[in-house]
Amino acid sequence: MPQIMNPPSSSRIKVRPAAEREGRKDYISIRDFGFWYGEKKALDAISLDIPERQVVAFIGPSGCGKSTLLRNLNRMNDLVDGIRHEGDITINGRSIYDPGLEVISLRRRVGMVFQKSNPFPKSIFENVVYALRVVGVRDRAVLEEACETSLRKAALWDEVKDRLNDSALGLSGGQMQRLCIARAIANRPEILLMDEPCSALDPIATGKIEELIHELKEQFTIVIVTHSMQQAARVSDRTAFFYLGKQIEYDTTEKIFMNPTQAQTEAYISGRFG
Amino acid sequence: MASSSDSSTPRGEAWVWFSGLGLIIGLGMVIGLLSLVLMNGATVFWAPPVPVAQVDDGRVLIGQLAQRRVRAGSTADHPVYERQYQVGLRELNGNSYLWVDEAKIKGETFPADVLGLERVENGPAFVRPQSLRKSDGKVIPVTDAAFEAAFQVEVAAAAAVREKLIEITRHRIGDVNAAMDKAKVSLRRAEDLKLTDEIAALQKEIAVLDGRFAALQEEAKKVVAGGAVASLISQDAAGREVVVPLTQVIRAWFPNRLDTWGRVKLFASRLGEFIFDEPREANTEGGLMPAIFGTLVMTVFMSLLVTPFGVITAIYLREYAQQGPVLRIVRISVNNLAGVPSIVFGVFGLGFFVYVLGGSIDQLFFADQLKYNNNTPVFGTGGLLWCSLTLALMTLPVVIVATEEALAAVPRGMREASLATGASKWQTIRDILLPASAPGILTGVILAMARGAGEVAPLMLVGVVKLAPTLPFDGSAPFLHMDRKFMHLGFHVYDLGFQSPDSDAARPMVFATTLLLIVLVVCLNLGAIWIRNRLRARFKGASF
Amino acid sequence: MQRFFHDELRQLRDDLILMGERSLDMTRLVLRAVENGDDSLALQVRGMDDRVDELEKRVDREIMRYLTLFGPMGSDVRLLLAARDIGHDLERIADEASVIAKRAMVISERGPLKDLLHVPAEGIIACEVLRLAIDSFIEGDLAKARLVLTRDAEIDALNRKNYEELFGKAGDAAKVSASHVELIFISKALERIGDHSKNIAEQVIFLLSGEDVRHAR
Repeated sequence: MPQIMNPPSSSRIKVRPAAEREGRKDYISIRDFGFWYGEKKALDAISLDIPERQVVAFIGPSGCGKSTLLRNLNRMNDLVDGIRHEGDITINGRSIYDPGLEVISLRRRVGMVFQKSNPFPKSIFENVVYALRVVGVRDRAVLEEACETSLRKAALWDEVKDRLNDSALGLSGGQMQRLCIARAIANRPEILLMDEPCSALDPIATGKIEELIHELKEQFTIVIVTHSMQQAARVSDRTAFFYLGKQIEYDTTEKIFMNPTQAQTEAYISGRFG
Repeated sequence: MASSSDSSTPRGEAWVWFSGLGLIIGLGMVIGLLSLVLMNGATVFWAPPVPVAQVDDGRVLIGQLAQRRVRAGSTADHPVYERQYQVGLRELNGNSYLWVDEAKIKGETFPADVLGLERVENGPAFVRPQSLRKSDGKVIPVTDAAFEAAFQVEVAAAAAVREKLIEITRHRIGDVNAAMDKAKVSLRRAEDLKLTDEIAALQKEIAVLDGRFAALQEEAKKVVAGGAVASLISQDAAGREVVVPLTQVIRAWFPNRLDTWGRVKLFASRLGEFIFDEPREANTEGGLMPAIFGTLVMTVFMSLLVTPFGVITAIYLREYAQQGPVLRIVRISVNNLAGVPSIVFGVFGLGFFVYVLGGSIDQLFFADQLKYNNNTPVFGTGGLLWCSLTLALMTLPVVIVATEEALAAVPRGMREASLATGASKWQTIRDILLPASAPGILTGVILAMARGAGEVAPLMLVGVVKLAPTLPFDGSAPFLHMDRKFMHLGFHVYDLGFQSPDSDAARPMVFATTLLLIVLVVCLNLGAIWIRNRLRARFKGASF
Repeated sequence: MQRFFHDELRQLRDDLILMGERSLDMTRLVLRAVENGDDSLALQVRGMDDRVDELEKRVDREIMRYLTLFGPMGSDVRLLLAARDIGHDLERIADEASVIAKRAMVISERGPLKDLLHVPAEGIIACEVLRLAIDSFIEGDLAKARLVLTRDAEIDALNRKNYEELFGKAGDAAKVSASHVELIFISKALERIGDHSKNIAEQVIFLLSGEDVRHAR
């Protein structure tokens, strides 16, 4: 008997359809953005708007610049020497390159999850509340409450609530990545950036994280870089396809995958690329 | 490529055998060294039976066998053996040790009445007791059944008297003297500045102290007189009468009557004295407590000083400094610092720390001392502080390099994760990088401690002495005296081996002290390793 | 683990069931219209056809979206393929009901017809068979689906009987009227509704067992 005949409903919370959720259309606005690593041009005239509370996926073959663009959204590329940019990126109307804006405060409003999960060698509790400690919160009650909220949102609370003081390094791969997500959202940033968050995980753990993204999009604006087109198709509302640093096509996910405009996009999604 | 036949003789394994051989040779050398030190050092405390030897020229010797060797100059096919006996009674025999040709010894007996004595002055003695004069005047001959019991009682009583005397003279009179010195210095200053009120007050204080001094002296005299002290009357090997007041006796034993268990107890007692008591007889006897203490305190201080300097320098070099030629030069210099001979550090310590820094401190804070106390410098001379600083400087490159490596070993992802959360660079270093690299940093500190605890040459210039009157850490404020000179085990070894007037007596002590120094350093290292293991367990992900 | 996009399969299933119920309603209503000569009912049925057409387009969109975006495997693939065909068949059933309604209105223009041949009986069986087919999908019941396959023969038999009776009467020119000819069209339409129900049942058997029982002879 096929399982579909009487399926129970899956989501823990009510997630509205994309059109209902959408807030400001140009919440993250990238305008004619170019980027160089030294002499090498990594991004060329990227222009796209990411609406509020939508999931946008960046796809494309290796070296196409999707990770570079993602890391520019919270200026993590500033850590590299010899970089240069042109054009602008604004978040909620304010440029992230505004000299009056401290990079640290930008990064506090934009959470990031990395490809290889990187929990700190501390307890689970300390990992989650790190973002709060960094901004100066000391009150134990506040920290504990934020920790529980975050872990619940990351669908990890039930698994770790009895061992919050154990080392975070004792968790499984999927749990570690969910912990990193909990850490990234603990201080309630508005935006969540995810750089291939599932590449190191098995299918079940990947599924759990995708479910998480589905729930989180009710509250957060999420930008996810993925080398799996299928994943982009599953989780995102809009998709941008990049190749060799250029933006080839950016549209709703249905349009990109069912009937793309550009021939390159069609070739990539049908596996005829390269 | 087919290898020849089957693998009954492993081919290409020669290098494995060679490296195994090298390992065994290395281990053998280490074990050999430790065994040599152990054997020679431990024999200091062991009490073998003491023979009475008849020499063919008519002499009789009573003494503990110390060494046996081939006489220098005798040929290989006709070796002439000679024996060294520790006969003691230096005041009668001129020397504690005697060499006798083995061939000349007619016979040895081990009579039960031979008595060994460790004395406060003039070293040990091996005698045949005749009678005991008790403190109440009664005389008990050795043949009497009650002799031994009474003897033990009197020795214990005499020891108590001796302790009390030490307490009075050393500690209480010592305190009074110290207070007197201070008062006198203040008086001279007050006179110089013509502060009449103060002069009067100080003179009164000095008078009070004088009174106390006299009272204490009286007390001491009373203790000495008040029980006529018991004494032991015995005969030495040559038949001369030897009278030993029992207050001179630290330990007494009958070497030919002890069973093995008795010898073990004696061994333990001597070992305890070695570790916990103070030295006597120009450091050739007694214990090493001040030297142990000094070594420990200095090593701890050195570690406390080198760790923050080293870690902060390494953090700056790795995290904050601009990459470029200047940074490369700095790094090369730091690495080269590790190769500088340690005596050079001693000279630097003397010239800069002692004379320049110490001199300035004295000028600024202790000008009164200098003026009114015959220019006795406080910090302008060698002391605990300068020693610790000099050695900290010497071991700095080790800590810097270890810290840099540990910081570099922290996975990049951790750093990125912290920065992505919005932490500043300093927060990242403080909360993530330093805890994660703590095991590696501790490794560096362990190496630094091991190196620092063993260096002697620089210490000789900046603050170690043969015999320190006081410990650097005692009951009087400010409790920790960084300006005092102190004793050090390594220097002790040098001093015993090369500077001592009685080199024969010193020989066994050299080995014992070396053994103690090795044990001390091993203990320090083990302690630090234990701390590091605890840290490693907490931070499972660290690679060090 | 239930994924969030599995909700869309559920939505698809619900839409199909809705289509089925609508088509069934249309068939029942139109038969009553035929029996009672009720034009208003007939018109209502024709209006319902538009809704079913919309549903078919929606179901096709959902199927296409799910296939593209969510990479189905196993029984989900069979469900999507079966759903496409079932949707088409249901839409055709609705069309046939619409056709019957048109014919009923033509009949009633000429006045009420007393002799409906075997059409009412055929209609009842057609509705029963359609109900069976839809239920076999809703309940995942193989037995019901197979029953549909056998009962379809009854509709065919009644349809043939209608033909024979009509052409039997043909000799008696006074008894045959244009309305009777319309009745044959209605009978034919009901027979086609039975065929579509059979197709639905075949798709359900494919969905449940993976077996392709089409064109069995």
